[in-house]
Amino acid sequence: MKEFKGGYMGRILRVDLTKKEYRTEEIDDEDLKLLLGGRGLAAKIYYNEIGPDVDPFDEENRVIFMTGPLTGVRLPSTTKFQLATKSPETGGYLCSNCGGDFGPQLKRAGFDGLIVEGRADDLSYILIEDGKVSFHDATSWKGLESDETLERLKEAIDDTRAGCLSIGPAAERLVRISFINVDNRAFGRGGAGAVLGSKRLKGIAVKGSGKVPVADPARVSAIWKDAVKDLRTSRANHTKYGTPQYIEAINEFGCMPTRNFQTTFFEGADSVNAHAMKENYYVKNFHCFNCPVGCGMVSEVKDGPFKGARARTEYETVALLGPNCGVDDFAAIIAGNQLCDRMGIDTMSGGNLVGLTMELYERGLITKEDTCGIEAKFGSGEAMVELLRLIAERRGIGDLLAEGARGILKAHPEWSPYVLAVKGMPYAAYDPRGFYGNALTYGTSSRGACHNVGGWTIRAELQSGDYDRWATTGKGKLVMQIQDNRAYVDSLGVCTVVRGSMDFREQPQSDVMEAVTGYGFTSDLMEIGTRIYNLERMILNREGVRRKDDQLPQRTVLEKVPSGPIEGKYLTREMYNEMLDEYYDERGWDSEGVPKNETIKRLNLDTLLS
Amino acid sequence: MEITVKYLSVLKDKAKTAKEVFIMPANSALSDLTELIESKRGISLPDPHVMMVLNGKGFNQYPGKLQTPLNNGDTLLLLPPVSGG
Repeated sequence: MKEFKGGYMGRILRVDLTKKEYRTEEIDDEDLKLLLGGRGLAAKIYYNEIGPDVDPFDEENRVIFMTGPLTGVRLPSTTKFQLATKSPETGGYLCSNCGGDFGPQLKRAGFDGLIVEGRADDLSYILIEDGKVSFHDATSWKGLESDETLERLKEAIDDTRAGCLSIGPAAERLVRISFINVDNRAFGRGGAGAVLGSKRLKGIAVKGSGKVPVADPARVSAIWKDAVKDLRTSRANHTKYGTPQYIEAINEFGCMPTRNFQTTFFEGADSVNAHAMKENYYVKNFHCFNCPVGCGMVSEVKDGPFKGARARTEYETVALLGPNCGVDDFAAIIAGNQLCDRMGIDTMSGGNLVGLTMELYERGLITKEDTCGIEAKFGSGEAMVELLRLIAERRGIGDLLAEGARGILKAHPEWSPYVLAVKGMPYAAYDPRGFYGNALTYGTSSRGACHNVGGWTIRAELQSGDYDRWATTGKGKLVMQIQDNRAYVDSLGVCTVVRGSMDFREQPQSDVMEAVTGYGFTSDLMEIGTRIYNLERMILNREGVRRKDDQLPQRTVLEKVPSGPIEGKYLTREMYNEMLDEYYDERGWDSEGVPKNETIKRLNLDTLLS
Repeated sequence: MEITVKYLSVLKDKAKTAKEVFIMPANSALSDLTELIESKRGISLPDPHVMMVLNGKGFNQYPGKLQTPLNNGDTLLLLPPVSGG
């Protein structure tokens, strides 16, 4: 680590489950200069080690965990670390972002990253204590829920402050939408939990006695104070209402996913908005590591059939288990959320699959025999919860749903009018007919229809005088800039909610990076983001992705919005492809979405990957 | 003419109501409405911490901006800035 005076530990821990061995590897400074860490460095390792022919459940697949230079540093919400693996849900490249204590503890243990490879003989767990790794039998933990597994891991490592990650019983059954629970946060999308399930790895606990060095402690301390002061006002709404505050807004904008994205305005939104949550279910705020905002809204059901259900309600989960299933019962949403957390499945893909099931049922394409007797109608909170259980347990139609959108379409291509997914990943909780830039983000996201990796355009499309939400012009450049900004933020180790307080925007000016690492990263940050996005695209191309895979599902481009605030809006395939052409051009990619040689050279990707 | 104003999220707390209808003279502009909102609800507009969305578009996206003419049946949303992802 000659180039850096702080932020990095300089080493990666590689664990081989087959051989029960581990070793440490030094990180090349040049890689960090070009890719930062986190998502960027994980993508490079994926490029080098996970080829296009590796199946997600092969031993050869790896799970690459990577912190960023800010993970664990005394700045707001420096909780984040990244994951890269071959996704069981999409069959391709997956990057994923998560909080919790695991990332900071991994750095205190002396490592920037952890690579898990091979397959254990039987269900196992691993303990990492400073530089030492031990392998343990977890056969008695088979079937344990993911949150209970975290508690067992803390007992095993004898430290309640340890960072822990676990899988639930769904991942043990290789349900392709299983998540990895990290200190009750989640690597939610893409089914990474099932990769660990295929490796027979039930959990990992890590603790370290070291400290994360910083180049200029006095300057870092001053930045911390200013950022906290800024967040107390700029994120006051997040502290008060969390992300459920967006239920009302997205509904009023007319892009709320409703009844499997058939319509875009939910008449029951008042029952599932942030005020309803706060008045009837709110218990307390949850704060992630080092975070003054505390946007986690711990919610509990006090009476009724779901009494006792408890979960931290977030916008995406509420929208996809609620309006997307026609459900206006917040108690049922909390119960569904809890079931997903405990069994270990992604609430977003889960909500999509339940919405799909309800539509199939109401159209008479499946029956009660398929649904194990559940009356799978839109609007039933009980049905929504029980259908999630079927998926987690692989029972009845749940066994097919557990194969994810790709598996469903392989078995039933005639259901394609009702499946809302790109590259096998179902939509996030925004109907893209409401904001056309959002449509482009779903099509061009590196991991399938994702608003995080793909870029959240709604604010710019609504506020900036440069855009019209229903115009196609300018969206290519807009989406590219938001994607590249997010790509570098995901490589830093800091939560996106607080990034504005440290100026991690599209033209960063702050000296945070210099204060932490001692290296002049700031002026390079956006170019690093561009480099990472192009590296990911090269991975996707190698896995066979081309323009045809960047297209949107039928409902979005063939159906006009039938009712609500944006009734009649119609994003045609032609309009979408106009945006895609502009995007490819801005990116320096050819008409099939392959980076041109001059783009690869301009970004030093040829030398980086040689 | 009737103009509906909806207050979302923390703006609802500030206004102490979720929605109301203002009766305005013909030829009123958005600035006339914001003056009424300020005098009735104490919410001063424009405000960088408040999004104003008129008929589904940010007020900044209309050529007239605050002088945009209103029409009978228009809806104005007031909410804190949205961010996501």
